[in-house]
Amino acid sequence: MQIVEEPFGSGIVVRPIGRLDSTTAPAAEQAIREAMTRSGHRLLLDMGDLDYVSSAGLRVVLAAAKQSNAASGRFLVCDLKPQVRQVFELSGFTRIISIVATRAEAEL
Amino acid sequence: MGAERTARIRAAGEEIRSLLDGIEAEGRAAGVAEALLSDLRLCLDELLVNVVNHGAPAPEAEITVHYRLEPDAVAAEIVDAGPAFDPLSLPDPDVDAPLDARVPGGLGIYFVRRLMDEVVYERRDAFNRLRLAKRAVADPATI
Repeated sequence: MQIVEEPFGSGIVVRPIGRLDSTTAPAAEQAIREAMTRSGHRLLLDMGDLDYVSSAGLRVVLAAAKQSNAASGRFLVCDLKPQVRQVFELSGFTRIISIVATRAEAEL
Repeated sequence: MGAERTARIRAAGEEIRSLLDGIEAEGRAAGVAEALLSDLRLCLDELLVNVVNHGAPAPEAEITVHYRLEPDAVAAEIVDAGPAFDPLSLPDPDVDAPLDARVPGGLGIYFVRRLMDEVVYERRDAFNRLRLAKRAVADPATI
């Protein structure tokens, strides 16, 4: 899986490309954990190029949210495609993760 | 009625994705509604990963997937020779819990329960068999 990372506001935006499932989740989790630390726990996860997220992918999102929370940082996700929104809604992640529609609306 | 197809994969994570890519391509060719196909893919992914992580005795072990794809209905059965295990016996995760109280796990099976119309586990002849089925929601415009 390709993961693009760039500075964003006072932190970092991370944009994984493709499918976030059990085969790609371990690498994505490590990349996001390291970016989170480097960014001073201010991270935007841009999901606009993710066509598919399974529960293994949600585990990565949960780990990032907990890491940021523990450091009193800021963690946002943006640009959820329909299947991604569906699993966020089913799992109740829409209630515990800060979601914005597009990158332009995210403030870090 | 679409014909039933059968696929066999080794119990390894990377084999799941190519199987699901194949089923998705066949489903598109057969005119299966996108939403149905998307739900089927997610549910098969969750269940197969579960078998690989918890059930199958070895990576060489085989998992058999029977499936049927129709424009308004999908069905599948996953058969594995791992130890008896009913994933439906797991409690639902608390999807209303706050972030601090969230623990990973259980969401995959929960998705299957929520998204499929029918999910049935059976242990028969030393095999785990998990059957799932879903019909498309009727489009009000066509009634």
